Amino acid sequence: MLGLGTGAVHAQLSNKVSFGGAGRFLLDQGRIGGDLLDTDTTTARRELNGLALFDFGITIRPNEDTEIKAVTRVENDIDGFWGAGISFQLRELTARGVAGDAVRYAIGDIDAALTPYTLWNPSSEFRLLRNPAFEVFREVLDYENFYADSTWRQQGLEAEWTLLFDRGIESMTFHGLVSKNRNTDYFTLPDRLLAFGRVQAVINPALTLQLQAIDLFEIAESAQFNEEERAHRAGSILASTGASRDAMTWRLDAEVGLSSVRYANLEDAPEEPTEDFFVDGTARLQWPKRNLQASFSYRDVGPDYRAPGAQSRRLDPEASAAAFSFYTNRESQRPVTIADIVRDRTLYNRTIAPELGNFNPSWENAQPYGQATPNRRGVHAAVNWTGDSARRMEWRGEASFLTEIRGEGTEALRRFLTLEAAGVVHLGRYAGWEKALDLHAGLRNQQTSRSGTAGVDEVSLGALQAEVGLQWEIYPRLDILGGMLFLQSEGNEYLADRDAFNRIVFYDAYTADLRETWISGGLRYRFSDSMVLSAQYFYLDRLNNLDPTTAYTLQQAVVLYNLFF
Amino acid sequence: MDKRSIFLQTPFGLFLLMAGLLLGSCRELTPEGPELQDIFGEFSILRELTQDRTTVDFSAGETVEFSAELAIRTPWTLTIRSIETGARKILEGNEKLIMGDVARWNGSVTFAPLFGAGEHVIASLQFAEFPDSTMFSDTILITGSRPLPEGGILVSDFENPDQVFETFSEFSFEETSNGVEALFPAAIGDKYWYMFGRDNNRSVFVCGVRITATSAQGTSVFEFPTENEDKVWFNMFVFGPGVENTILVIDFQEDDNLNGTYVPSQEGTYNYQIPIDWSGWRIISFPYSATALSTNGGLGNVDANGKREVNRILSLQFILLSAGGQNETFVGLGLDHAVFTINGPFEP
Repeated sequence: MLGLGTGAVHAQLSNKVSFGGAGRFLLDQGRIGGDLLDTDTTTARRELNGLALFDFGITIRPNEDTEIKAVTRVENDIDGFWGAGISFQLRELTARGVAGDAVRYAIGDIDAALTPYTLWNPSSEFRLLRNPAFEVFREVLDYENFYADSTWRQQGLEAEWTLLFDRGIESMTFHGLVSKNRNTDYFTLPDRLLAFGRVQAVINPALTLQLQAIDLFEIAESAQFNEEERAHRAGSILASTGASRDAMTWRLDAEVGLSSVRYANLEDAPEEPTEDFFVDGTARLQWPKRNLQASFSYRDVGPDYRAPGAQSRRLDPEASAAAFSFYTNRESQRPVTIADIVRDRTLYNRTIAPELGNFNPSWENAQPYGQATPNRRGVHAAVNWTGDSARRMEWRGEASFLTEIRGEGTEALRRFLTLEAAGVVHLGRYAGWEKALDLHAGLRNQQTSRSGTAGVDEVSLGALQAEVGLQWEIYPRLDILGGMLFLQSEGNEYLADRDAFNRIVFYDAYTADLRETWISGGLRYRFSDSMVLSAQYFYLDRLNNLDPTTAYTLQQAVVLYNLFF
Repeated sequence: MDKRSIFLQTPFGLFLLMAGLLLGSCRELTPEGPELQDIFGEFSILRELTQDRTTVDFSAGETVEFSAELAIRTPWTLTIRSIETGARKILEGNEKLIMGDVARWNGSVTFAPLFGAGEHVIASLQFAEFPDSTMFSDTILITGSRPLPEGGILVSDFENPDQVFETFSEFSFEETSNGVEALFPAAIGDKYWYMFGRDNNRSVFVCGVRITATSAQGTSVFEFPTENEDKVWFNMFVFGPGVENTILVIDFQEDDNLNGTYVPSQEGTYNYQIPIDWSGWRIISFPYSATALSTNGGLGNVDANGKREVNRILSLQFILLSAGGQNETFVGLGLDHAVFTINGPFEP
């Protein structure tokens, strides 16, 4: 994980200095309409927002073993006139290199990940496919929040050391990190650090063993009036084996791990450590000549398994959307919609937190905390076909069936069935065109159920997501874009309220009868693969049948100029 | 890899998997959290509302403990009301066994005026989801009132005729009041600040009053014993006249360059906004960390230092807004006993 990059293409002036960065200009005009306005006399009908920002990165290599990278940002909201809205910040600062021709190190901003059960940044909801109509916004969102390859951006020190052997085993790699997770306020809130260590042993090309341990812990003495301490520890062993043949490749990964949460000097905290474990076994098959891959996995994640590094959520469903933040005469917070999820970078979280975050069951109920979602047991199967020899279409499908291990407030267990399929048809290739005409489509259905008990309703919640995308290159590098994202959710659930120690203390009855449709059309010009100018129109139709008076439409015209260099 | 290696290695992974499966069968599977039946089951009252005393002397440190028992857990509100003045204390919870600390009253108040000696109070227990099941306690006589908490930094109690207040208003707004008044009982003392007006131009801003640290504390900025913004609380009684669309904005203007003056286009204002949707006096409290940088262009939305600094508050502004933005909309509020406290909220 020592490789550090933003996806930007660097302009190299010499071997010692190179430049890179990103720039963006966004202009967004929105208009709200619909039945809501029959009674809402408070909400502004139109909004005009935008920003211009520029990230300037410089990478210096004073010698062949050292590299220093710094990225500064200048940002200006379009309503910050005469420089009033300008902000400057240091976005990234990292030094890395090789010490003594043996130890690779990095100091500063580091992207870190281990396994999906120990340290992992699971993808957020509504990422069914790479939709050309929405993809640039998703890329911007990932860039802004430092999401890259399931890593969490950390600030600290990282080192890696590899030993090679000539007999017995091939190599052993030692990898460690210490980073600051939270700053003390010097009074009552102590520093919180994240540390992990990993040992990877390559026994032979077909067998790898990996042992990792991670600790998110507080230092009580860092705050003058504090005696409280929390420590979240998790560790696992991952064994990978497999073999490769011309016709087929197979691989088997098995991971087993434990977690322990301890509290010291905290009022009302559990006196005994909270401990649990997980197990995951995954078999992967690949038929290279047929461009076909398949996997089957079984997983069991204990109800008390806690690994904040793998269970922290990206998306906060209760955050305030940047556009039309409030609505109705009560000036209630406008609920986050699928349009906000794709476009609003402020809804996302960048930090690892020990508390299990809020989630919206209409978006994702089976695994809201990724693969490490506690209290889940079941199977998952996936198939991926990357097309015939001409690569004219690609399809993938996934299915999972999970159940709870321990009931929440009842002996009855929830069952989660998720079916998902997505693909792209390159129509231009069928027609023999040089220019692209691609049609993307995806569908996802998730059903949650639990039998009822005396006085308690059964749980039955369905969520259907659909996504369609179109990219048609009508002139070299000039594309027509079209897209649609759809969510329909209906049914009921009980949402657990948790205390600061992640214990369930209450439940809220949740009912959904919701439909959101978001369509888009526009033009995009690709100056290069990393530099685009797009003008798109978006139309959102949101209807909550539980309160039809709040039904509204949101029309947005967006001009976006985005480049990475 | 030869067949022998596969033969040895594949079972290794399977062994790990099987070990996990075996461990999985050893888990404690008692349902987690409170029973759903306790929350969503059938509501009934198992034990009526009672109290442990009928006279109480808060000045001697006595408290009143109420108790009741329900069949399920449901959000409840215990309202203790003075028969003489209408002062109210509100306790809230969702327990099914209502007793102990969650139902103990120490004489403090939620809606002023303060509870006084000689007053009679009655408590009512209400349930948001079962409005027809309200219970009432016996009458309780207060023989001694709770003393006001000591300490804190008084911004204004509006009783001092020599304190300087700077007022401002929307010129086209029909302002009917923006000053010290005694039209109805104050939360504490005799007087309070009262703002009231009628929107006749679809405006939002109505009027406001500014109080500087110099007029309140005699210093250029408010001086606190800590710079921890989580520990400095602002508290104030706010009177809601029961009219819709009333919003109060409290601005904290920071002297970022510590030159003794506040320049709105260059120095930060952090504010706290609250809709006044109640009738009568009510105390509001929040830590300074709960404020947010002003979003009004040129009016404190740029912080020269780029951060909230509790030790640079030069002045406070209390601004009355009309949320409706409609003609003929009346809005208004009263302000009393504005005070900073350290470590926690003011609990009179």
